[in-house]
Amino acid sequence: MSKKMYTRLFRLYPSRFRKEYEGEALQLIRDRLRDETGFMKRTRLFWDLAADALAGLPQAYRNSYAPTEAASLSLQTEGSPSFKVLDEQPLGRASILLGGSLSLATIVAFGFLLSRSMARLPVPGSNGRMSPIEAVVERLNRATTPDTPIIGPEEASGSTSVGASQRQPLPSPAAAASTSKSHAPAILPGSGNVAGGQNHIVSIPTQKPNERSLYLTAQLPAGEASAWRGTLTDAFGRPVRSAEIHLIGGHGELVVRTAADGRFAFSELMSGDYEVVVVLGGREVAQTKAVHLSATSSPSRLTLASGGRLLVSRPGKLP
Amino acid sequence: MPKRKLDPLPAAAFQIMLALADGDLHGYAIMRQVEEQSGGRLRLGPGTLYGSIQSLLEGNLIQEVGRPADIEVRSERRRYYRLTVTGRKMARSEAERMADVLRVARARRILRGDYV
Repeated sequence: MSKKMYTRLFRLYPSRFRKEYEGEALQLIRDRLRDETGFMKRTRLFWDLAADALAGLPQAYRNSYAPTEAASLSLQTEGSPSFKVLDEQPLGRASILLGGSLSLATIVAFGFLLSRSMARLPVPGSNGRMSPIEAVVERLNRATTPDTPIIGPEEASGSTSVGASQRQPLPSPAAAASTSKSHAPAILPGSGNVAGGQNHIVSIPTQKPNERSLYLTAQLPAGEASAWRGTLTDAFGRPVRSAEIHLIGGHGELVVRTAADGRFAFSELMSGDYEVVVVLGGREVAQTKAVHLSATSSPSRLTLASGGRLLVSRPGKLP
Repeated sequence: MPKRKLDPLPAAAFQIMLALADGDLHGYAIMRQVEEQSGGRLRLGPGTLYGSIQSLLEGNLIQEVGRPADIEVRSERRRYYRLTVTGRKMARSEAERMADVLRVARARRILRGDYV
């Protein structure tokens, strides 16, 4: 009776498995029926057979049932590429899992990078470079400022003073105009010409007034941009490394971190009054009242004094 | 491909390999041996037994052998299986892996010292 039941269950198995092992399986059941007598053992046997018939199914379907001759043949031709096996195999669970987790990791990494670069935006110039948006704003800002000095190309190539060496030549039509008529700056229309030292400095209103007002309403800082750099030391003159120096001014807050030798540099800084705050290990350790900062050639020296005071020596003066 | 089916090695397959470690056995003898060495906990039915045997054959961990000469004629229809060298190596590495786990379990005081 249990044999009949098992034969029915056995039909669920792959045909190649049945062909290979049906006789053996029935023999095993016969052996167990012979050896396991008594109500308890028989009940257990039936339960075993029913559970086993279902539990053994997945493995029976995973096996490939390749004949042994084919196996030895494929071993012989192992050196040459063969797609025979792959063709028959469905995509494995491990492959799907690997692919899924790899793509997930890529997405997470991408998102992480994206959020990091976004997080840096509010601290402009902290890494010594301008973000693309800031660069565009900077150029627009310069172009709209009515008294932006423009230097003729031949003078600009020879001059390093005036503090304009950091600026790029303006790609505006006015620049082209000054290029073509640089020998006669006085006759430029609407120009309030100024001669500065040995350089010909000509200021030209480059934009229409309505465009200018548009940029002004955006409340962008329109001052002298300059760099400020220096060294942070403790009271004994030893350099302080990896301290954050915050400049808090009317335009917002700028942050840089000191290098191993205590040096720091703010690359883009508007002249003005700033509070200087030094943060070490997430704690404010020293701060100053407003200090006037502007373009300077000599580096400043910040000293952490007792009582949370910060001494600033030789802050730059306006040239 | 067969490697993946046996990695990780299923308990039934490992028990069959252990049963064959002492010598060649046929299916029913393997089943009895496994039942004995697992303290009656694991009774392999035909589906699990021959499914595992087929996997082990495809993985070249066991092989089918001819009937031993000293077996009486009554059981001549049975197939006998033998552990291959690869199979013995794999069974050993699996047992070592389990021994490592056992060592950790003892170090964490889950087991008392009277085991193994």
